[in-house]
Amino acid sequence: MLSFAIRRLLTGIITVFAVSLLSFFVFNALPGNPAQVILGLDADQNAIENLERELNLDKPVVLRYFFWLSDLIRGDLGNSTGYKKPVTEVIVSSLPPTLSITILSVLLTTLISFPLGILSAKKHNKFIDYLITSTSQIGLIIPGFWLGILFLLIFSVRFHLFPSGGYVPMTVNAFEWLKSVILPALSLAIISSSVLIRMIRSSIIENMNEDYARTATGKGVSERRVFNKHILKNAMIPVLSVFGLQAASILAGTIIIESVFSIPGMGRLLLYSVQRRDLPVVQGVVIWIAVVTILINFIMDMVHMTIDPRIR
Amino acid sequence: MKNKKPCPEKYKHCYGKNKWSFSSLTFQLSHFRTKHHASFIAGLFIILFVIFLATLSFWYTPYDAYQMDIHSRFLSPSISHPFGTDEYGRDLFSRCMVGGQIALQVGIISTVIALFGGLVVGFLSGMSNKVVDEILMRLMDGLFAFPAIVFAIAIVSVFGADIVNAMIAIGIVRIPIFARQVRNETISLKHRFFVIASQSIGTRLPALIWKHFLPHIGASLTVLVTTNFAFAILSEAGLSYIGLGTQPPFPSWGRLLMESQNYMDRAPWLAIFPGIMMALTVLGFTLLGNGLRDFSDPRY
Repeated sequence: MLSFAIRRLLTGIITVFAVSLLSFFVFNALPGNPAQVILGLDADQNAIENLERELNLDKPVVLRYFFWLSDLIRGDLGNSTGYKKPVTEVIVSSLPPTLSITILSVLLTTLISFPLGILSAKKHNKFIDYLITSTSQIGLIIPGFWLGILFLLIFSVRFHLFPSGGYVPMTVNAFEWLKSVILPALSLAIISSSVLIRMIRSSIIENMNEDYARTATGKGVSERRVFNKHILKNAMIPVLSVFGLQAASILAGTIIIESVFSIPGMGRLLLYSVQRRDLPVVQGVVIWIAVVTILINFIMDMVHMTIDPRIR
Repeated sequence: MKNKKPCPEKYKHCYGKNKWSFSSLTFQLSHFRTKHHASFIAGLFIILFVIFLATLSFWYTPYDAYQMDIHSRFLSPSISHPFGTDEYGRDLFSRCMVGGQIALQVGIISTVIALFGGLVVGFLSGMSNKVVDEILMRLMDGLFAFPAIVFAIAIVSVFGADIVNAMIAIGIVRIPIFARQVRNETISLKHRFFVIASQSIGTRLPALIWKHFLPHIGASLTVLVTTNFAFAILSEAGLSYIGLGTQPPFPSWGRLLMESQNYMDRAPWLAIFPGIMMALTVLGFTLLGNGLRDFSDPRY
């Protein structure tokens, strides 16, 4: 079990390494001189050379990568050219809204998808099953941000139930906070749920037809017990990894949904930084999201390992 | 092997052809009872309809998609303007038709990039030794760790916001999915007897790939290609919505949704119809993909 965990950790670290290599390649192999970009076109030649030395631009690329990587490992992502502050600080200050939406959305996804998926599998080929699966098809074909726009149209513009945007910190007013993040969280959750519902349903139905389920019923275990103790446990194994992927895609989804509801989170930060060509911040956010994605997958694999003895 | 059934008369024309060809595709499709797969047919019709609208918009749209007409601002949907008009009096239906052009373009170009990248990396990884395989696959894992939209934003932030960069970024980010599929199938194929036999009589690698690998991998790749279209269209819409994809004046569906948001209380139809067009197209590709997946599944 430990050897599996270590092996998995190693691949995780190598993947992070690959992420760093790719980001360095994208952000530092750009055409033109970064020092020139930072200082502007009419900058003094001396100043440019000084900055080049400061940024290690006069060194070979491979060396620059290792300098950059060692800074990265120590959590130093450089300084934002727009905010004149360390990138880490800028990112951390934009985290609360993004994390609120992400966590709430993952919570909602769990609350929506598991009951509906299980219900749909239990009522396999009945009316309620058709209703759930066909409704979840809608979630597969529309993007989360359009759902957000429709929610705004219905709940804010027409019925004035929710604010049409903005973010209230939880510490200021918990109720207003919930009102400001529930719509974006819900629109992302509905999209993710529709993937999960189908997955849960098909996984349970597949397990219902397995030999072990019939054996358990045959030896006299009550049907409810077979379902809860045997089928459900086995059916959740493939669902877990998909759940991890969905959590990661919710995090990515916040970037766009924040624009819909004008919430000043990481997505907004990313967008502003792109418009102002504040590349250190963009790079920081991109790496942060990729690393969190890898982390989520790693955690899901660990959970998988603890509940499924076959892969230890 | 001795008691192999003779090829049915009906399929004689495709027998013995090792090349990946249209006739072998139609052979596969007819073999798996295409006619009875309702969702495949529905998907096909939706896609054909969208392609028809998009192609038609090259020569004909009901109104000029770019011509401003200040007298017909914010007209709600009617018979003369089925989707209504926008803040400059442009006909939304015409703009949605042109948007279809952009969506299909994005789908085609990013899918071609993902497909070719995936084929190259997948074959390299599958045919070479363990070290190369491991390095390439870990790189692909790294690329896969970036959510599509995030990677696209990274590319666009460095190389500038325009539709070509967006298409390339969406294509690159999907390479790992194709590469993994190609690699796994290549590895399982390269130990099969017909491949070893072909190698032993001196078939070179390009010929081997063309004659033996591609026809076998083709079926599962068609599924990936169709679903990739849906994915690319959604990604481009997201990217255009935040202003980093299609640039004005081109009306991609995501861009139309972005522009609609300032007038949500006055003209809600601006926020609804482009989304419906997008959902319809994605639905078409999803249904098509589901059908193709069923056909390539031997249990079907």
